[in-house]
Amino acid sequence: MNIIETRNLTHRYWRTEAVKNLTLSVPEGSVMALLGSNGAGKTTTLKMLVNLLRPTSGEARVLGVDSRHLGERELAQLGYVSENQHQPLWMTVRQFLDYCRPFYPTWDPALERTLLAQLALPPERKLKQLSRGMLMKATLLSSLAYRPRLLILDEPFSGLDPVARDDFTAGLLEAVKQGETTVLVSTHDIEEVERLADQIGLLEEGSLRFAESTESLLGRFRRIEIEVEGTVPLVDRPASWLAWQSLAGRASFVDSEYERAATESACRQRFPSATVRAQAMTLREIFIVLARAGQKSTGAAA
Amino acid sequence: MNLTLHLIRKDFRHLRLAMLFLGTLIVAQIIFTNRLLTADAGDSNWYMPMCGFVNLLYFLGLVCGYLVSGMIVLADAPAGSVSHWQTRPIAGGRLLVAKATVGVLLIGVLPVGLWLPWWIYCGFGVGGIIQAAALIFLVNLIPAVVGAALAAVVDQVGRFMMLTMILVAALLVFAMTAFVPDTSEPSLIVTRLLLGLVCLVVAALVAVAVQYRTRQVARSSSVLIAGIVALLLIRSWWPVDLLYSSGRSVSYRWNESPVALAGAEKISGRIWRAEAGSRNNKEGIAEPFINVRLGLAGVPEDVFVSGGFVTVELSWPDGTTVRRENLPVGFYNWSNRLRSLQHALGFSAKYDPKAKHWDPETREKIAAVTAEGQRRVAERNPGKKISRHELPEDLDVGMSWEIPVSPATLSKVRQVPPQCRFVAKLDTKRPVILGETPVVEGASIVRNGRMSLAKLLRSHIERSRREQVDVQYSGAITLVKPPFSPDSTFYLVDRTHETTGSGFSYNQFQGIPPLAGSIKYHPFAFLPPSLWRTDRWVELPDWQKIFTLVEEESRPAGKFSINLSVEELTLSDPLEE
Repeated sequence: MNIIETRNLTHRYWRTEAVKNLTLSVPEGSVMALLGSNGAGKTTTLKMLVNLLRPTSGEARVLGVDSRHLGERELAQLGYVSENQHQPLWMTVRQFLDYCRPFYPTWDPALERTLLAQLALPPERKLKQLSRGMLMKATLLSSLAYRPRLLILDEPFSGLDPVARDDFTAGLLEAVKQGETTVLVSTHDIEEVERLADQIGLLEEGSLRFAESTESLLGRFRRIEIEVEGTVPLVDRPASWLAWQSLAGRASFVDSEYERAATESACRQRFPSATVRAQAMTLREIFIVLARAGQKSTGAAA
Repeated sequence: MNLTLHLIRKDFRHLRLAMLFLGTLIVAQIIFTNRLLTADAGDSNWYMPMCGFVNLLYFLGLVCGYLVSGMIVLADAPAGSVSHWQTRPIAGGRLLVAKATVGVLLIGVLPVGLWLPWWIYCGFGVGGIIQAAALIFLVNLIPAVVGAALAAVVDQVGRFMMLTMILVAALLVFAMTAFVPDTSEPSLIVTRLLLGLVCLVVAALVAVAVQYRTRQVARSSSVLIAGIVALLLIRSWWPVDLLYSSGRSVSYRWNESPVALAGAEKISGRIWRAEAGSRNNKEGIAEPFINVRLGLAGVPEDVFVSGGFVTVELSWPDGTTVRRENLPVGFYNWSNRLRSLQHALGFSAKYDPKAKHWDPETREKIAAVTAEGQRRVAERNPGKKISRHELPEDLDVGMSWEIPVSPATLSKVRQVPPQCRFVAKLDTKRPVILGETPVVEGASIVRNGRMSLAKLLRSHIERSRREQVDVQYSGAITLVKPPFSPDSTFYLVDRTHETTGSGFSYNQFQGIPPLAGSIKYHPFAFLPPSLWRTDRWVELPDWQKIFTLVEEESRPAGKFSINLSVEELTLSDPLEE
């Protein structure tokens, strides 16, 4: 069952289309990372999902309800953590938790205490006196203590120092380890995504490039290196070969549709005497390749 | 419900300093208003600036109300997409109820709660307290609702302050239009202003509600802009006058109220004289009028006719008709009120203090002065009956008024006397004695308000005539009354001899009354009760032991309609202003 489903979701700021015909499904129990460079439409997408923005067209269903009609019942099962969200800064951490608690019938005081200790938050300090990382942790705590069915995180790691990031991720993992919480996180932080996400979606200029499991993504991307005698000849290359580079008798590219036999066969067809080596890639490498490929295609289109 | 209370508690905790500041402002107003009521009110050099200071505090309170209501809204801004509450299980409707409750508590209940002991101290009745509370709430509501509406369409304090500056600039421009000469009736101007404000407040309330319910700034802004446009249109073009001007005050227009005067069916009357003429104004331009003298019989002794509306119809044998609808008339004069006042004081019905004085020598002098006056009138008006101003014996109360007419109408009246018909819809009032106190400094009366004889000074004055008494009393009365309640009138009363003294009747206040405290300041100066001795008037010895100070309030007693026709229409020569 999908906890989030969008169909042709579109949002326009005046003439700028921030999100275009986004069709996306997030299975219940998964942790999906929404990747994309700045201005790709991640935040706009998440804001539409929690009804902070209204779609210009298309539809999003969250927890089985049209996102425009999310009510108290649905929002009690949904957590939203964003660096942009204003918090009542005049409250202390304890007052903030005391304030949030009554709105959630499923609030777990034991989990609250555990997370409070784990995230090392000072209960009597005012939110406005907290560092950015501490504030994000306090917000996360207030969004985890009721064991939400769906947790949406918008750039939660940006600007956090490594310790705070580690604490934050640990807190998040603590909450989701039981598999009752679905997480949708938009971030630039690929290392944290590798630790957390089992689904990855990539947004480029408001359009969804792909959305699939991390395993599948890591499986279909390989860096291919070719060695030939003499210079590398100019040949037609499939669209799935990205980041092509050649120098003297060596060439390399990233195959985004890697299958061992098919890739080797395609290489042999073009470079009969070549030596072909395939290397696994990290998510970070894949993201950079895709981002650059996206920029190139934009440049070409322009 | 619990969650709504939870939200209310949160806002109160958040706004506790603002609340404390608001409360302090109100308490300061009460303290200074109390000082104004009881302190040395004779010193106008101190009193007037202090009134201004209290009003400044009141104005500050309104500004605070505006800002606090903005803060209440912005604490959980319904606009934008960054508010904490928008992703929490808090419905817009629930938040709106919580915010409205906090707003009402802060700008309504808090001031009313703080003013309440003062109102009780001032002797306000339940009705007076309700009126005072309603007035405070409504006046505070206007800036607060405007502040809330502007805050509801922005998501940041900075933007709210920017809109506030635009609002201040707009108000300045709006205020400047007040100096543009306006030929409209004052009551029409007030009608337009009140209706415009009602439109603005309703639009602002709707805009706030729409914003919380839908979070669509375009929709709520449209409602707000529609309210502002309505305010401007009504301010400029609203045609129907719902009020009428009466002297310096503006009152509700007379309508067919079900409150009829008890015993009105026994009232009969006639216009025993009407006089058409014209009077030159200061510019030398003739202003035609018809002066009408109305006499009534059967009016209950405990009431007097205070005014009302009259429809006049002049018709000529050739079929021409001139009709003036609902002209406001007022009969608030001493002679009209005297009978009912005597009744309220429990004095003999037909007592005339001018004709009967308890002191024989003084009575003789009064009779001589009256005779001399009549002789002079006869000299000035040779050939005319002196008695023409006197009320025919079959009528109990008399009053007169002037109907402005056009020069063409007057000319026609001069050529052919028309038949005059009047339909009068008249209000009556009943004098109620609120209290009686010795005429000494510091004396007070507490009933439906509190008066204090704050200052009483006796001083010698230069006589302008040899006979004149050479002593004068001056001072000030301070008075707090519930809003919308009739003003008080003060009389010196000699109960021993059943007379009301003259010259101690004050209906006007000076300076700017402190708005929330509704305190009024009546400086006075009067000649003391006196006796005629040999060749001059002398101050009545120990008059303060004989006379008391009476506070009277004329309350609405009911209305009645009467059809009247003119028995005799005469023409007079033009009079100089």
